[in-house]
Amino acid sequence: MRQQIDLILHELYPSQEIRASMYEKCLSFLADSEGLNGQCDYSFKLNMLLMRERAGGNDDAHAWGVLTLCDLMEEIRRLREEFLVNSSGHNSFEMDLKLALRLPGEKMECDEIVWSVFSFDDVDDVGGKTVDIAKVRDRLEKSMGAIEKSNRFCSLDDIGRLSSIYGDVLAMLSRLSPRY
Amino acid sequence: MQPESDLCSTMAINVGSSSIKISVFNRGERVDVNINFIGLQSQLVKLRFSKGLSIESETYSVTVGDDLLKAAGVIVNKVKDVLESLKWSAPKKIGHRVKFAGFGPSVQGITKHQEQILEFNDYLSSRHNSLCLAVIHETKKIFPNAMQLMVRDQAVNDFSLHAKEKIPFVNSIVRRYGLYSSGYHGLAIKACLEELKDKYRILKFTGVICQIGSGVSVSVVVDGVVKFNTMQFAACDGPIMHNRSGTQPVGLVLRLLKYGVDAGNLPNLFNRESGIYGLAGLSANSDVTVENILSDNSLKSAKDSYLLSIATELFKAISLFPEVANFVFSGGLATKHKWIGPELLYRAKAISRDSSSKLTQQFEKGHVFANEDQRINVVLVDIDEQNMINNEMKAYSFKERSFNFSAGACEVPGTSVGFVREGVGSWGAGNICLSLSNSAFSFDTNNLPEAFIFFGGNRNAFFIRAIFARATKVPAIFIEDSEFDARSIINKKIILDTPTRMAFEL
Repeated sequence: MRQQIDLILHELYPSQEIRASMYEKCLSFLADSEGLNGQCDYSFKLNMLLMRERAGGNDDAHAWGVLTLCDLMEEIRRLREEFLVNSSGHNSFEMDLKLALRLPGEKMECDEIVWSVFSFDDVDDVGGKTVDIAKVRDRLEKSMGAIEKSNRFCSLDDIGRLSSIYGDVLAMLSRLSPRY
Repeated sequence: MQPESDLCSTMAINVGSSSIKISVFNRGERVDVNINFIGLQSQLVKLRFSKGLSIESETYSVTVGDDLLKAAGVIVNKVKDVLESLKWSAPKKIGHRVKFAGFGPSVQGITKHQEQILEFNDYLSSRHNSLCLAVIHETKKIFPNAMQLMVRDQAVNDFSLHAKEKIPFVNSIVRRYGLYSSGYHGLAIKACLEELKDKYRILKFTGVICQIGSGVSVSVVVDGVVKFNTMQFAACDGPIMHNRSGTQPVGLVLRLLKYGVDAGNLPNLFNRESGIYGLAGLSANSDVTVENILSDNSLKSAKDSYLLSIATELFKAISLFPEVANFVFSGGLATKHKWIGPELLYRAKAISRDSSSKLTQQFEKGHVFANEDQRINVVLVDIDEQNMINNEMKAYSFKERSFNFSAGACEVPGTSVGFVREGVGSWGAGNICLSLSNSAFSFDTNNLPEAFIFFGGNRNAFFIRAIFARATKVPAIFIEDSEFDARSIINKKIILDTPTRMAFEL
């Protein structure tokens, strides 16, 4: 988990200083939730992200968001490998293509994520970052409902659903803070 | 003295959608073994020997039905028997004409990767790729020591047929969906040009080449270089063919999809279950040949639509290149039914009805070259594609310009052309960005590269970069650093096709 947190923070936070403090916050949230005996999955983390975001706690929301992304990335990786193992004997390009079309970002419009906030360049233009946050929140809340109804993920469609949540979480994080 | 390699047998294989033609060349002699009508109730096998061998031709029937592997086995085993009876050595090189093998050099060694590309691209072919793979399988089994080569049937070996101004989509759509084409029927075109050179001393032909067999294409050649070709992306592109639809209105496809045709069934519909057979109300596996249809008065409307469809493409070619005054008709149907070429020229408004009749008479008398009213020249050319395959094989050099990305993973499908540069400075039009895990990444949506090559030890390290690539429609591939030496690709201009993990230096 530490490695995954590190990977995501490395991409999302151009500033070393903020990366370090966010890393500590993520580890602290993880430690706090250790007593949950495996219930601290991505739906729990997503719920925490939404709660913190609604309460206006951007830093906390960010940390929960990063943890959600870590879990989702791991889950998508696991399902991707499971799919490839199950489809051995089929044309590998065909299978790879089916997967690629369901991974995060594929069904998104470019501007759903405020990409400039992840840039190492000094980009001030983050206009519109709060404009659609309500929409993203709404989508994530609906996704929460769907997660609760479906416990087992194993098909390409399930990968697509997780990918969609991943994209929305990333979209929300990109809108929570103007510049890290 | 001839080099030793020229004294060994070579084998050229020309697979169609329902036929396999194999020619073996040995010290100036040649044996041809063909099987036709694969998919119908019974098949015809024909053996022909060059004059020096003094052996009678042979024709007999076999029954393999629609079993492609069985058809391939029958014909390749027959070749083996013939070679043994002639006491010829097994071929050292076997060249397979391939159509939809992805962009690449005109001749290339066949690897597992290439076979997978053929399988992947079968949707573009009218079963050609499946039959080709069956034949490759059998030749590998029966001639295990031979070098297996694929000889591409692309019309040009570059992207000169890809004209931005003729594709009504923005560049991001073109690259995301790989809308590049290098045309097809290239070997038939080359064979025509060879014939024109040998017979008429025309060294740099300028004119139209109309290939009419079960596949039909119209190409314009200027100074020996192909400038226009109707078979752009798939076997069904261009005029109406045997059992292929030809290019149809986009709205027709949209309607099919809306009314419930499965997208995966579209290739079959357009490549196998349409064409002049569809016009005549016949099923794809009907025993009625195109020749029957063309000579059956009760099917006159099917014949008219078929001819008009080819004539329309011919008219288009003439409109695009008004300077062309030479017309070549090749392919089984055009050379056997000599009225077809003149009739098409008439329907394309290139000549009068009277001139068309005169031309037909000239051709029927055996003239293969006609100078009609001193205005245009029309030639019927019998092409020998196997000979062309053999010639291409001889020119094969071992220097491969392709890069092995077969162990990579497609992150974003698409096709891109550009110079490979490392890091964030490599973004922008004309560049393919090689991104290492420690490379800076600017997430700049206003300065996108043509493609991303994510290169490192852990795919997850590029997870968010890959999302950026998907959201911005930039083709991307992940390559594990242990599988490839990135230095070999830096600063080279390549074409990258991410779903087939294919890269080729231009």
